[in-house]
Amino acid sequence: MPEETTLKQDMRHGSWGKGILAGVLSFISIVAVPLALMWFLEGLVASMGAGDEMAEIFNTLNETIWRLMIYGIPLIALAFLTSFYVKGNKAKVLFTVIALSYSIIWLFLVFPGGELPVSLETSGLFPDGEFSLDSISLTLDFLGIMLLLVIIMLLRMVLSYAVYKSNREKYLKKLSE
Amino acid sequence: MHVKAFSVIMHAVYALAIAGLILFVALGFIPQDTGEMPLDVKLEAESTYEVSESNGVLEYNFSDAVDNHGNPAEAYTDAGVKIPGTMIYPEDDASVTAAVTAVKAYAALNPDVTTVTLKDGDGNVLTQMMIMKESNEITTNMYTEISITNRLRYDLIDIAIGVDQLNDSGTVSYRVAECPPSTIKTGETFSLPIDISINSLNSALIMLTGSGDTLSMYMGFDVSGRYLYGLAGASIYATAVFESTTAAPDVDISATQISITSTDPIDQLPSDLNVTATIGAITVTIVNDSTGFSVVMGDGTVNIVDELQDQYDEGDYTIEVGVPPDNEVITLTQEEYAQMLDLVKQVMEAGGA
Repeated sequence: MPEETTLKQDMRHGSWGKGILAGVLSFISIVAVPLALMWFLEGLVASMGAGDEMAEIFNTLNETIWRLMIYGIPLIALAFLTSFYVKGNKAKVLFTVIALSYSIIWLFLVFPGGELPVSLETSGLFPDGEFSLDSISLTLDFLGIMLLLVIIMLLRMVLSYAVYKSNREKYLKKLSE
Repeated sequence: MHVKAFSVIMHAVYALAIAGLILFVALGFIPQDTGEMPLDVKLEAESTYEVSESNGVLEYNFSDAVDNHGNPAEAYTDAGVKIPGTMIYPEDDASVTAAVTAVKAYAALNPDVTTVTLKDGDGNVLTQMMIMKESNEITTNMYTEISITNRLRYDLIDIAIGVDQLNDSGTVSYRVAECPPSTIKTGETFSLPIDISINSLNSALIMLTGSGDTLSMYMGFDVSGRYLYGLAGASIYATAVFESTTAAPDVDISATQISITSTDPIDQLPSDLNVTATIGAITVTIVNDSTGFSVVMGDGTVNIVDELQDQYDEGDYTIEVGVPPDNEVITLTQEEYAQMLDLVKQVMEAGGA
C-alpha cells in the first residue's frame, strides 16, 4: 500500500506541459476567439452600412464580450492549475472545485440576473412612410438555462471527486516509484 | 471496486446531463417542419359583426374589409345563410350603403340573427386588420386579433401582449389594449383577442405631453413570453410612430386653462371630432375637423388640477359629454380617471404652470 500524501505534498507534483497547454487553450477560447468575433462583427456591421441602427445592439454585445473576457482571466490561471495536476492528485480536485465555483460566478457576472437586454434603433427602416418602427428593446431571459448549467457544474464537481478517488491509488503508486 | 463504479456512474450521469441539455435547447429552435417558418404571426380579425352596430360602424367595416380584400363579397348569417341584396364591391360606397340597409332589414325580420360575416365568391371569410366597434364621443373602440402559429417543438408559455399610446419623449405611457397571458401549444394556432379602447381626450393630451415638436402618434407594442418549458423567456417592446403632417400647435398652458390650437387637423383622430365635455367645474372642448385641431380645457378661473383631484378624491369619475339637453354622462373607471389626471399634471409641468 503506497504512503498517503497531504495536499501540500501533492501540490509539488505536476506537469508543466499539460498546464501550459490548458492555459493557452483557455486563453484562446476566453480572450482570442471573442476578440476575433468582436472585430468580425464590427467589420460586418460597417460593411453593411448599418452602423447607426446596429449601434446599440453592437454596444451591448461589446460590453458582454468584454465582461466575458475580463472576468474570464482568472479562469485561464485556474485552467492552468487544474491541468497542471494529474488525476488522483488532491490539488487537482481542489483547483477543479475552485474553477467550477468561479465559473458559476463568472456566468452571472457576464449575464447579470440571467438576462441580456438588447436595443435596436429602427427609425431609419421606413424613412418615407407614414408609419415607422422607432425602436425595439428586447430582453432575453435565460436564467432557467443558467441554473441548469449550475447544476451541471455541481455534477462536474462531484465527478472530479469520483475521478480523484478512482485514480488516487494509481497516482500514489506512480509517486512512490 | 465501489469507487470505480461510482466514477463510471458519475461520468454517465454527467455525459447524459450535458447531451440532454444541448439536445433539449437545440431541438427547441428547430421547427418540426424545417420548410416552414417556426412562428407565424398575423394581426387581423375575421369580418364578423354584430348586426346591432350602428349603420356608420357597419358601413366603415364593410367598406374596409372589401377594399382590403379587393374582390366583391356578400354578407352571411352565423347559420351560413346568404343575405339577399348584400353584394359589396370594392371602392363602391353605394353598394356598401345598400348592403348595410339589407342587413338591418333582414335582422329586423329575423331576430335570431345577431351577427353577419362577409365572404367572397369562393366562400372565404374576409379579414380586417382593425374592426371598428360602437364608440362614443370620448372613447373609440376597436377590435382585432393577434394569431400566432407555433411550429416550434415546445409550447409558448405566458404569451402576453399589450398596446400602449406614448408621447414622443416616451415619458407617458397609456395602455389602450391588453391580453391576459396565454399558452400556445406546439403545432397549434392561437388567437388572442385585443379590445382597443382609445380615450380621445387622453389621446390628445398624450400627444401634447412630449416635446411638442410634432403631433405624431406613438404606439408601444409590448410582447412577452416564455419558452423551453419556462427555462427561457423574452420580452420585446417595439415603439412605432404614425407620422403626422400636422405642424406643431400653439400651446398656451396656465394653471386654470390649457389651450392648444393648430390650423391643421390631426390625421390620427376622427375627422369630425367635436366634443364638449364637463368634468366637475372644468369644461373641455376638443375639435378636429377640416379647419384644424384644438383643445381648450378650463375657462381661466378654476385651478384645473385641483378641481380634477377633488372630483377624483370624491370618487366621482363621471364626464358629462355634450350640451344639455343632448348631454350624456360617461363614467370612467378609477384607473382611466387617474390616468387622465396624471396626464393633465404632466401637461402642466411640461408647460411650466
